[in-house]
Amino acid sequence: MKLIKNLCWVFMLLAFLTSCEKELVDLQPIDQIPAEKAIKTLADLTSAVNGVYGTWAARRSVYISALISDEVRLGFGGEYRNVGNVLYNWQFVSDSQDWRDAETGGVWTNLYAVIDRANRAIEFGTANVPSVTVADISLKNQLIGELTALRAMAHLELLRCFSISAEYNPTALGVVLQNTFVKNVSIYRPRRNTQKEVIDFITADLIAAKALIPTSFIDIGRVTRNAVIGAQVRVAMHIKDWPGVVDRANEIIPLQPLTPRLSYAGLWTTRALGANQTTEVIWKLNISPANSGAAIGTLFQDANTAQQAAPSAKLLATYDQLNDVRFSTFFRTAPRNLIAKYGFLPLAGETFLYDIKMMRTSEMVLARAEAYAELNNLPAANADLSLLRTNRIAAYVHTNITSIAAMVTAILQERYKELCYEGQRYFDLRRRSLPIVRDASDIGGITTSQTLPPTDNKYILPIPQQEKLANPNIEQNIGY
Amino acid sequence: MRKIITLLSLFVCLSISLLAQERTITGRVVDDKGVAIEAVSIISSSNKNGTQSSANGNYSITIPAGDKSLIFSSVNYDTKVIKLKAESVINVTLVSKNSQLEDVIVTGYTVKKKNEFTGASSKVNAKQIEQVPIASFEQILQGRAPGLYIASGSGQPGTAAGRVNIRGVSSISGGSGPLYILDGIPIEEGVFRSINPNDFESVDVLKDAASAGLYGSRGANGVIVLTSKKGKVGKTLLQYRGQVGNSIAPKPLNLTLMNTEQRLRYEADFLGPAGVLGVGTSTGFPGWDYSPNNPAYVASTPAQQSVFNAQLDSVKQINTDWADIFFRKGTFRQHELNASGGTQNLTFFTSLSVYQQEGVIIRSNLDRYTFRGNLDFKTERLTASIRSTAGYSISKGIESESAVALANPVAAAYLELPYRKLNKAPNVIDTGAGRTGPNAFDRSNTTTATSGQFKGGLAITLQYNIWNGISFKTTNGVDYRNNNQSRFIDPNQFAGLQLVNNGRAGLYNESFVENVQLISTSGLVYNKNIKGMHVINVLAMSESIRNKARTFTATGYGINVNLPNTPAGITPGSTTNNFIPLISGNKFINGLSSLFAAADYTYNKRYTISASLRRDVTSQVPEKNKSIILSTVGLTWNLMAENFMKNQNVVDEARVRMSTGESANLNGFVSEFGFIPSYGATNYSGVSGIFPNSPGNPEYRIESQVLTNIGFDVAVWNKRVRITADAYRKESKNLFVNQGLSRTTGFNTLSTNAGEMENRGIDAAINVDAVSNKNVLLTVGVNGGFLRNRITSLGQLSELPQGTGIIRKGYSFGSHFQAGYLGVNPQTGLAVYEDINGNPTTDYLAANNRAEFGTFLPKFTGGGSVDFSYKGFDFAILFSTAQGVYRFNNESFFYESTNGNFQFNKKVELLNSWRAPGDRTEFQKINSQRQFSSKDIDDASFVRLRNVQAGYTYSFKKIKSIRSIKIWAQAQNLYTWTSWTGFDPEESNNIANYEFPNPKTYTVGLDINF
Repeated sequence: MKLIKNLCWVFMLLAFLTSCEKELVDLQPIDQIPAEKAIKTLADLTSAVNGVYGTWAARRSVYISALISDEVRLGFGGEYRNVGNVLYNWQFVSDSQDWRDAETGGVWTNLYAVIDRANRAIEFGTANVPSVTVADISLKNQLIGELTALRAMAHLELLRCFSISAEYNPTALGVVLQNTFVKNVSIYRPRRNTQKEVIDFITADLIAAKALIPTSFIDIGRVTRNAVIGAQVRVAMHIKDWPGVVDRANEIIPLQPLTPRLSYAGLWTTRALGANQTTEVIWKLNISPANSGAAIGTLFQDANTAQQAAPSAKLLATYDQLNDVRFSTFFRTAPRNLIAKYGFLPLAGETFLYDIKMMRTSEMVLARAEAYAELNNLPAANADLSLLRTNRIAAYVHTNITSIAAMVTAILQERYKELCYEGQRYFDLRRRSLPIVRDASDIGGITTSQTLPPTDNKYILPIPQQEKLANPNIEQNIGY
Repeated sequence: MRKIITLLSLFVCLSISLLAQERTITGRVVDDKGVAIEAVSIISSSNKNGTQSSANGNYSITIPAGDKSLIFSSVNYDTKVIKLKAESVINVTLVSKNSQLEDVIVTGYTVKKKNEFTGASSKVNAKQIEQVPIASFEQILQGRAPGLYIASGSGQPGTAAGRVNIRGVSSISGGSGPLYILDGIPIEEGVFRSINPNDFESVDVLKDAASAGLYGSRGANGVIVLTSKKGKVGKTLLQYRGQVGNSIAPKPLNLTLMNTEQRLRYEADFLGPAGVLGVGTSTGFPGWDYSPNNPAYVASTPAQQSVFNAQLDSVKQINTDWADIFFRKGTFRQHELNASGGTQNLTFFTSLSVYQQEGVIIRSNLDRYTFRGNLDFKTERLTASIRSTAGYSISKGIESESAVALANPVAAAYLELPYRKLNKAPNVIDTGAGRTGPNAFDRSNTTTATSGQFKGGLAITLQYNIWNGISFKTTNGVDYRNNNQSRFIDPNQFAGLQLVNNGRAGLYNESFVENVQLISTSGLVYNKNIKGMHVINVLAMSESIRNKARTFTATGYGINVNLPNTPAGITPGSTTNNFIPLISGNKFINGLSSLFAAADYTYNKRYTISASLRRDVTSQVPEKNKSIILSTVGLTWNLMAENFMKNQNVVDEARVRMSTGESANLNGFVSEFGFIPSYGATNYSGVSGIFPNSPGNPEYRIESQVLTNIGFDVAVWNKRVRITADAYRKESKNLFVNQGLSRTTGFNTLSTNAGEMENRGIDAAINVDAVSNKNVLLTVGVNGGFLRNRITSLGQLSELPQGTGIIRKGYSFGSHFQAGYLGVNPQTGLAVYEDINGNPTTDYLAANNRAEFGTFLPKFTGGGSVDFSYKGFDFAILFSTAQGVYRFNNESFFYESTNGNFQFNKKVELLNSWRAPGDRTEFQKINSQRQFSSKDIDDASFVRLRNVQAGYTYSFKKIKSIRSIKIWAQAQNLYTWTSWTGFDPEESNNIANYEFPNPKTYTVGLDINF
């Protein structure tokens, strides 16, 4: 009897201690959503899609393209903070920390995060999110379509940055093709795919996305069907599929025609364009105080008016400064030369928070012109070039260009002037294997920073050292 | 307890005697060094109220003639019973318990006698802690205990030490800081500025498995056990202590920056000709603009040139000492009132203090107010102790402390040019683009960064003696902290206009952090001493710990100029005014549930064996790894109890100790639920979204280690030479490493338990009473610890680069990872680096980085002290040192840069930069890329004269109301020997980024004992 009584005590004590223990240590996270509960409804999926848009740090491509190419010169004197000089002077190594945003992996890391987040949302959304009503099915298709297109576009951007060759070479090393999210991250060490493998995947994704996104979806702050077509033009340009460029450009240009000269400045002075397709902006990333860290204008001028990069003298000299709306829109020359495409100081109330234009019809028109030139259709090329210039330059009178080479040069020059600081220049030079050539007046006396031929190792960006260290299987670009 | 029983029995015996005539006995009570002892309670059997000795030790007591003995007792001394004979003058010498106090180790759960203790520990006493002009007590311990490495992170008053390591670093990613136990209750690491160190009686540093291992999964990094003061039986003592003084900033060591003349010459002869300042005569660099080396100057008309020359002359007149503008003399004052006393059954200690310290950089300060009330109560079976403390402190910080930012005054003081002026007109600060110094100064005055902190602690321990040595003991307590920070940026001023993303009209921010830790430890204790032959101590307990914290911060913009520095001035945000407020915060919770038992047994005072077993269950790992069982075992052999030691009189103390055991590191977790794959909230331009924020790790487990210690204690020469030495090996495993992931996974790193690390070392302390007689005591002490740290495994990886450093198998934690630097090629002026094999190369490649440039973990840390007293005079010196430390000097990169940063001042040696083939110099050609390399890794070893104190105590014989006064003076951080370039070699991490330097502080003080 006494034994039983004692045992009762012991059991009661143990039960007491165990319940205490459970209460103490069996806890649910407070500030985190367990992954398996994260995407269960269409609202969750929408939220995950927003997360992917919020991830894309497009200003990094803008920065790299501007600093490495002939679009800028570095700031001077006391107002210059020594930002960007490693990139500008082509002194970068694979672990340089000058890719912007305190991020050592730069574009590489960011775009693979975009891809991973899209992959997860596609897989969780497809498997777990029910859609019954017509409206729900349409919305789910649209969301999956957006994710698919984002994934494809991120791959294209990676390919443009990190391919081992300056221009497209189907069999040469491209980037890692990531079409599914990684389940066992600690042992995942992929190799680079060939450029063609990546392009084939992008092409398929874009076709799928085009079918999923309804034409009624017109929010240019996200990927619309028009943006998918625009991406197809870019892919075709990248691989020099000139008929493909013409076909897709013919499809997209009438849907969102060029913004005329008199409205053009408004594209750049309006910080947040409306969520509609009434301008030539096909796709943009929205920037607001909520994601102020992405303020694109601060790439060139910072909050206390210190100037990191100024427009290059070379670029300024290309414009008809009196008549070209682009000159007065993109630059200020007093009190000194400033890049004004994304705001400038001292402008009262300047926030540098401008939409990042990801794709515009101007690019499509010039792409079509280039394709026509390559297809030896000079009249059509002249017509497109004239169309663009007429919409930019007051009282423009076109003089026909009569050779293919001259036409291609003229088109590249026009892209330089039209698409400056939009993350295109470096890639335009690359896809044509053209050297980066700067004016002597832009290089601050550092003669080694004037010309970078495509044969120089620094012409190709390195795979970030962080990737190389974590993943010994990745092949580094030459010379790093 | 035994003493009380003795006393009680004496009372019983003595009370039998008859009362008749009275007699008066007088005399003096002194200690073994002949120093008078005051407040000794003197009673006889009949006169139980007795009397007390005065400040000079004299007493006089009147007792019945029949009383047979007098009892002299004092809390700090052994009680002495004197049999009465005929004499009427009895002088008594009491033996200090202090020598015994030294022999007691407080482990938090238990109190052990040194002879029965198997662990390795060091003790720091109140005298060494008190009145040091540092607000955060752990920094006071620097140089006091072997194997305890303390590195200050900042000279901002109240800042906690940047690094506190007991026997090295034992975690790679997580915390390596020790557990802090105050009166049995764990208190938050690194939050000490609202606690008064003067309240501490002793600090025990527990270093091995047998001492710290009982704390199980909290014990891996060692334990610092703090014991607050308690009242002493006897007359109530009232004490006032105060000190006032000044702090001054140290001068930069081994570093001279250019003055105006040098800077202008540098512009004219180096920068300008290299083409980096631009062309023309208005580049903004007067040294170049108005130089005959400048073609544009030469091309100017003579009239223009004379204007230029005049302008240059006026610039030459300016020679601004920017350090003088940002640094200042800070005032320091501290006042404290404490009272203590009690009866046999009830004692109390209470204190109140005010501490006000200005930092040596403008704006920085700390004001602190503390209270403590300690109460001890005893009945026949119950002992109760109540420890309560409350402190409030408010601190103003500097802008961008320890950041490579121009707002940081330390950076601005280094970087601004000497020919720039602070003001453009009287009282108008010359702010604007590129004006580093004026902008930083203006910002200091038009912004605030204030942090209030309330800290409260309560600990209640009850012990009830149930039966025959078995008692029930319970300790319950709370450690509470609330920080309330506010920040204001004036909308009208330069700093406020910089907030371009938020409407350029200032801001007001409030944030708060609350941290609550609750603990309950209860169980049974068994203590038995069988005829001195067998001493048995056992405890079996259950413990629950709950830790909760939350933070919340809100920032509003668009401050109304007429409502500065208040949330009332905030303008509601809209997309047009951009005053969108920012609000964020988080919450976390964790829990630890434990069952543990510990036992030790001493046989015949010779051998002690101790063992402990503990089961810990934590919330921070997945279900399958939730519980961990840890055990320790220890052994001590007291040689003095052996027969063969009886016949010698050389050695007074000799002990050999050994211990081994496993403990774990709850501090190693960097997140509360890091094992769960999860999503977190984000947004796309203000539209809410989610993103995967943790890959999760189902194999997540707690870090653990095995620590083995062997040591000895020896005392010779009548205990005047005391030596303690320990050798240890600490093998840590399951250490979290942020394994780099292929970025294609969408994540950068995964926390895995892949790391293993070994710390081996020797700790030793020697104290010698070189002179010890009635009037003079001179004690010299040296202590130190050698440490060798090695990463022994990283699982499947061989290395993990971390910025300018690397975690690499076979190398020490904290190793620098850089390309080697060889010098400047005299022909080309370009820097020459080492390739991966150490051969010269001009190619600067990440692939050439090597880990051969040392670590920021010191190989040796230690201290030395001299304490001297002569009658009423006392004098003490403390040195501290860290040797074999290398730190990356990011500051030197700035003042040596050759390819930019030209608007910042440079070190004067750059006037020797390379200019023409054949120049042999350490400074490469202007406009060649200055890269991070081993050139930037400096030896940060130092020896520091950390504290010097001198005082004189005067005891009053005539004045009844005051017993004694002490006047004294001290200097803190008086001098530093180092080859480091910069303000301060001492810092806790691998890289120097314009930290707030530790000040020199001089104070004078007055103690009055009532």
